[in-house]
Amino acid sequence: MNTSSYDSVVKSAAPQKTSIFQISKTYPAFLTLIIGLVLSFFVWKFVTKTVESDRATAFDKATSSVMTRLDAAYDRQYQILNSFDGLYKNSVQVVRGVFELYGAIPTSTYSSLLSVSYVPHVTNKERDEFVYYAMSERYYDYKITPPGDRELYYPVEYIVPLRRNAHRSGFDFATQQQAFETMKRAQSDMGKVVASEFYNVRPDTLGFLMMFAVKKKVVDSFAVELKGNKIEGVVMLELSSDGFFTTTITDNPVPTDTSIFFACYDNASGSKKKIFASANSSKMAQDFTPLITETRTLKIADREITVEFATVPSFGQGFQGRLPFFSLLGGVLISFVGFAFIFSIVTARGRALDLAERMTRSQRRIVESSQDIIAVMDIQGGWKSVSPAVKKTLDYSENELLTKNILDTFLHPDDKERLKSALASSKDDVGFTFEVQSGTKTGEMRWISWHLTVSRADGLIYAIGRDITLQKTSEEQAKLHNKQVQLAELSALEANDFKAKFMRELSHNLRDALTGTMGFLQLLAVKGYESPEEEETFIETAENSSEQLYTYVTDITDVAGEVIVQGDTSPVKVRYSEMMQDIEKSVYSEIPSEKKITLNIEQDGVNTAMLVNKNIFIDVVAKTFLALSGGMKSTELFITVRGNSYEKVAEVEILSSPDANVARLIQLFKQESANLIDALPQDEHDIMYNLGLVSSMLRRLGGSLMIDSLGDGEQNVAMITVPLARGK
Amino acid sequence: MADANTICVIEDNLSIRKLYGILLKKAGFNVVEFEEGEPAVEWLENNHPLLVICDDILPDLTGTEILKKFRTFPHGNDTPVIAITGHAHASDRERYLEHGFDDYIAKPINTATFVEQIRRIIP
Repeated sequence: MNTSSYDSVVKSAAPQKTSIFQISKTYPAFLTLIIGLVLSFFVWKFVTKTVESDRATAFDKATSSVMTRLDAAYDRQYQILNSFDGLYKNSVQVVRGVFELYGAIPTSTYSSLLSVSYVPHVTNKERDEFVYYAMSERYYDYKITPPGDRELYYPVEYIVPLRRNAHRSGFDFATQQQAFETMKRAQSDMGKVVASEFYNVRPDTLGFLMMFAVKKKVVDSFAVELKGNKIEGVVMLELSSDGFFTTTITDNPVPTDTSIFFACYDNASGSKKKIFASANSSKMAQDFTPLITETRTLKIADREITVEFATVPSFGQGFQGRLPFFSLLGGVLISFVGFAFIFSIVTARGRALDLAERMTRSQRRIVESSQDIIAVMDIQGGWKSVSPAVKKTLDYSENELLTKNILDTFLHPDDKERLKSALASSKDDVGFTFEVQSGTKTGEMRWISWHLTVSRADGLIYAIGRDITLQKTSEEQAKLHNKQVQLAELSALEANDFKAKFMRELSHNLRDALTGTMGFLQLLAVKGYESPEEEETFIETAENSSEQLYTYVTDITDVAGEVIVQGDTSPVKVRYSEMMQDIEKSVYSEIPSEKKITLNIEQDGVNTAMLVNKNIFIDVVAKTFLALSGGMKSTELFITVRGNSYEKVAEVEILSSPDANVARLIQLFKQESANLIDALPQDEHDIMYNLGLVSSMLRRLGGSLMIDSLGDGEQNVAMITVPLARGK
Repeated sequence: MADANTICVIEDNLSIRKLYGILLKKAGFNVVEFEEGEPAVEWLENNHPLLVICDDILPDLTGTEILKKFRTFPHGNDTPVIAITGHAHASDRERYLEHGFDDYIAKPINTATFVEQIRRIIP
């Protein structure tokens, strides 16, 4: 058979599971989830913003790098023009050799610089003279191209490097619209560097021009002055667009270049013309939407070039690109994990509470259905709670008892002190049993066996009380029955002893008489006498013995069977002093430890010799002491032993402390001594019972008991008499 | 000291005491008779009879008490003591022998064999 403990039985009873939708119980979990999701959102926003900021910074860094390099490239070209400007300002005349010298290094350094040239302002009138002058400058085949009469010419006079640009010598830039417009601007804004739009400066080369106008000089005898705004010509740089951008960007790459696309646009004439795109632009898909775009302006002299930047597809991707997603995902996961964790705690707590509630309910049912009183009291015994069984046992309702103290239910005052003493000496959480007579509400008596457990930490006493009235009544009945049987047995024993003694004495006397009768008859038969007088004596003696015999026969009753004497009750000569220690030992072995009996014996007379069975006499005296001290916690007995040679008895007189209850029972014993067995139910503290035993035992010893009270409030007295031993 | 031919008889019944006296004297013994135990003990203390015949129930002492006191005398163990009593139960003989009596004769005695029983016990 499987056995289950109380806990496992309750646990296995239908447990209630907490549904996730029982919001009243699971709200902490949902709250945790909501808070987690909200926090996840904010974290995602923060991470996204951080990533965007990092991207913007990286983009800005990349674009700034490009712009810086482009600005630097323009600046380098500007410095070239600046140096030529200085040359022309500080020179009366710049001849070919000087010009070529100045232009040699820049043109050899910068591959984007197609040429540096001097293009004079030549009117139609000055044309021929100009050509002649050019020839004198060792341009022997110099001629202005394209040929034709025009009002104004801007022919290339000097050009560096001549080797690559010889075919450009004499070219009239006035015939190039873009160049001519630029020259006019240069003239109108003398001294400043101007730039042309991007156009095909050569048939196959997209580029632009940077120039500044040289002021006409007036030479007088003392100085060269540059007067007015009359243009003498322009110093012009011819730059390749591709070369300009490529050498700047492609030839000087930085790592950030790969993260962006950019394209340069010339917005001349209201149209947007792409003049350069980064090398990776070709890889950009048509439908690609860059993360970041920006438009910047590159100033080339007086013109502005639009540079449009955009991030490449791979820009900000990878881990950084996914970071916001991961942060959001992580936040959401953590939120749900937290939700599940809190939910498990809540449901576990719910299950525990439910289990505790079920256990409490089941325990309450057990308490309420128990036939025993289950109660809780304070340390002083005041009822705090009590089970319904109290109604059946003590006839009090639960509410009535809660106003009382357990001590109020005790019938005997001594029990109150006994309980207080037991509670004071009890160990914490160690139960002890306390049986007490209690009174019900209706005045009846009930024996209650309390099992009490004191918890000083709780300040409570936990109690279970069982009605043992029936059991006690049965015990009392059994004890009474035992006493009655003992007295009856003792009476039987006494009768038996008396009969045995009688038979022994009768046997002895009969035999004595027979001895005399038969002996002398035998002597007469054999004529054993020596004289008639002796014969007469024999006859007389025989007759006397016969008469004795007749007397004894009339006292005889037929006894069938053997007379068996129980044990050896033969009297011996013994002094009281020899039995004193054994008497005291017998008395103290029968009384409880808290009871005190003080024996005061008068020394005169303790050596009185009596003829008694020692063991029975010791028992007689001890039980007399017990009877006279019955029910008293403390008593004093005064013992006097004396020999009464006149009546041939030894007397033991015992005086006890006054006690009304003992006195009452002594009188009752005297009244009921012939009917003692039936009177035993009225006995208390075994007083009558002990006196009955003493009387019977004394009769067996051939003695007697006299007992009485000396008066109200006076001592009680017992007189034991036994045969006095003769002789020394 | 008494005569070595003396037998001490302690018996409270007059008829029986007389009978013992007649039988023992006819057999040639001297007989000293006592009706009570205490006087007998006093005499035995100072005398050494050939034999002691003792009844068990006497007015002042029992036969057993007399025997115990006699055995404490210097010559107490030299003299046989016979119990002649009216306690004739089967267990009585064993009891008297256990108490220290040298022999036991139940009453009523057989006058024809009484002296022979006595002579057998005398050392």
